[in-house]
This record gives sequence, structure tokens and C-alpha cells, in this order.
Amino acid sequence: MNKPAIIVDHVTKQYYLERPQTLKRWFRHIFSPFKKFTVIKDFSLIINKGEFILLVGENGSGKTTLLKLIAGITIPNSGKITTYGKVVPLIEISAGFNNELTGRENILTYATILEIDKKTISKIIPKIIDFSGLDHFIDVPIKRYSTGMVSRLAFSVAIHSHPDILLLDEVFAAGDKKFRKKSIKKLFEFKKRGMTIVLSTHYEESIQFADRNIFLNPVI
Amino acid sequence: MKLYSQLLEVFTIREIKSSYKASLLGILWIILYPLMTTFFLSFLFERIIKITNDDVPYFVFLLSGLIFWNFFQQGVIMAKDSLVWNREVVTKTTFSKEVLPLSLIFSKIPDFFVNLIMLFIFLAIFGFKIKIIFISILLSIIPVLLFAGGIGFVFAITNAIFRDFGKLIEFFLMIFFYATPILYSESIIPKKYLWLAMINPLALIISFVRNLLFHDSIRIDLFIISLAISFIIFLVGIFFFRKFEKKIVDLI
Repeated sequence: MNKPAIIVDHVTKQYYLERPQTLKRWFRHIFSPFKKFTVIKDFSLIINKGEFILLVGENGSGKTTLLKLIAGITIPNSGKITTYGKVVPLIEISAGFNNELTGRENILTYATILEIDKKTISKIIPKIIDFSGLDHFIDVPIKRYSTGMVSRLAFSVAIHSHPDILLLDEVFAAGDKKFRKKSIKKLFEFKKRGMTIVLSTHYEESIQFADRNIFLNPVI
Repeated sequence: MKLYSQLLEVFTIREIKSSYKASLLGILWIILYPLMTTFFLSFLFERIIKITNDDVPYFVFLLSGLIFWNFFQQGVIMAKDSLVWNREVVTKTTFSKEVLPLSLIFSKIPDFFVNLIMLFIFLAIFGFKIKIIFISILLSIIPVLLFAGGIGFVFAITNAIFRDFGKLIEFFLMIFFYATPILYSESIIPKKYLWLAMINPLALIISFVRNLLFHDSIRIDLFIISLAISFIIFLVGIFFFRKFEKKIVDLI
């Protein structure tokens, strides 16, 4: 029998359309509550352990929001989400990276955010550097990196953190073809070991390699 | 728990590293800033306003208070922006976000130590004997950290929701600076207002330090009250922070 890894149960998520950034605006709106914008409406989904899921949808269809909800970064307005095992989200490539610090120093920060202890970090650092293909750039401040290099580094850290569930948000948008191919190959390796992977994309062409495609449509 | 301290350590070191990488004068600023303020203020209050204090050279008297104030103030100012500055991390990853304000406050500890050494140098210049018991000045760092942490937690959240709070905090800090016996000794405070200094952890700790440095007495009572009050403020702060931590992601 298949074991579930992620259960999304009738989840609805709304955002404030106008965020109350200053007190003045807040007072103006106090009698007329902010307009709310529904991103995900009464959505249910069960993903099994070891599945490779592709989330397909256009911009604004709620792909990122769904991943953030699964990761527990943000909480749903209604409904329930249950996950089994360690969840590692890679929502935005540069999250947690400090521009002034080098690639190596940033690996330490990012890996710590992903709850890896120091001993393990020093063990996996060579693997991370090797997979990222950054070479001598690893001791250069991140601000000198190209977008593709940053995303390669972030992806390398994320996959080496040994998650049970890996959530990837359009991570291959910035990397080149070669790295994309290498990454997908690596993802399949992990999948064989039982890792659950959810990858969001708006490319229809990449559909063939996933177990299942979930199509998201913007809520009207 | 182990991971928590690793988070704190990594973020603190990250902050220390990145804040000095981009600055030219680096460590010099840590010394120059309190020194210039002390020179100016001691001229103003000793020569022009002619404040009276307890037979201690006003310059070192003031410096001993100011370095604690700077530590507290810089910690709070950094902490209030911690969530806004780290917006990316806050909205895109999951981890204990209270590490952010805390690590920024912790990153000011090295500056504080440099200032402490500077204070001792000036004490020596002014003819004070540096005694072994002065080492207990190190105790004072704990209440200041807790106090700045508690205040920093609350301000970090409010500032992330309403940017206006940033302005309010500056105002609060200015009032608090004058309300705390830094420029003056608490002995000149009228009796009916003295309780204000007795519930202010920073005032208590500065008093503890001045008693230690200038009267050779370890007023452990002042330290304990300060520690207790700042601990309560810290707990209130962390409670407030945890309550709003998840909601902040959609609002920041």
C-alpha cells in the first residue's frame, strides 16, 4: 500500500489585497475591511510517499502559495494540511542568502535554516560544492554570482539536506540546460530512495518525467 | 535545542561578518562613536549646564553609562528591522524566527566588549585603580541582553506590520534615554520619581556598574532586581512574538 506523504484537506487560502503598511492606511480602512483575495479555494490533494508531482499552472494560479502552505510557512484560512517527515521548501532561490558573504558562508546559514547540524554540514559541504559546480567561486561573495549560480548553490544545499519531502518552486527557471538535466537526474535518484518531490512549473514540456501532474487554475 | 543555538550562532556570526565587510573604518567606529558622544555631552553638561554628580570625574561617569545605553539602543534598533530586512527568509523558509532579532542584538556584543576595554583605559587615565572585582561588570551584560531582546521582539513584529512604528520607536528611545539616569546620577532624582528608576532594568544595571566602579561595592540587589524585571520583559516579548510570528508572513 502507498503511504501518504502530504494530505491537503479542503484548504482555502486568502491574502489581503491591500496590505496595511502604514497606520494612516490602516485607519482609512478600519471601517471597510480590506478586500481579500482568494488564491486557493477548497482544494484537496493526497500525495503519496516517493511520488514525483508536477504542479502545473499559469502565473497567479497558486502554485507558490500551495507549496508555502505545505511547507508550513503560511497557514491556511480553513482546511488542514498534514505532512509526514522532514519538509524542505526551495521557494525562492536566494532566500536566506546574504550578498556580502561568500558561497561557503552562505551554505552554512542556509543549511542551518534547513535544520542540519554542524557535523553533518561539514560532511556534506564538499558534496554541495561539487554538485553546484561553482568551483573556486565558492569563496567569492554571493553578490558577484550570476542568478544561475545562486540558484545552483541553493538547489545543491536543498537536495543534500536529505528531506523526506522536497518542494521546489520553479527552480530551473534560472539554471542552464545542463544543470537542469543533472538536477532532474539527481531528483530521480532521491525519488528511488523514497523522497517525495513536488515541483512547480509553468512549462508544459517537462510533463513527461513526473508521476502525476496537478493542474492549478486561478480562482475566479 | 542544539539546533536552536546553532541557528543563533550562525546568524550572529553572519551579521558580524557582513556588517564589517562593507565598512571602511570598521572597528574604529565602535570606539569613535561613544567617545565623540561622551566628549560632546560631558562638555555640555559639565561646563555649560553644570550638572552635579557624586564626586566622580564626569567624563568617566558619563562614559560608563553611555556604553550600556549604546549597547541597548543599537540592539533594539537592529532588532526592530530584523524581520523587514530578512523578509526573504521570513516569507520563504520555516525556522524559529525569533532568532532574527536575537542574533542582531547578539551581534553587538563584540562592540560592547571593545567599549568596555575602552572604559577601563579611561578609568586608568583618570587615576582609578583597576581592581579584580571589576570583573563582575560582566554580569551586567545578561539583563541588558534580556531587556533589549524583549523590547526587540515586540518592535520587530510591530515594525513589520506598520512601518510607522519605526518612527515611534525612535521617539520612545529618545524619551527613554533622558528618563534613564545616564547623563545624571540617580541621587539627584526627587524621591517621588525615584520608583521610575527602580523599575527600569537599564537604570538599575547602570547604577550597579557605577557602584562597582566608583564605590567598590557590589550591589547584588540592584543586579537581581534588574535581572528579574528584564527577564519578565523578555518573556512577554517572546510570547508576543510567537503569537504573531505566523501571521507576519502574509503581512510583512
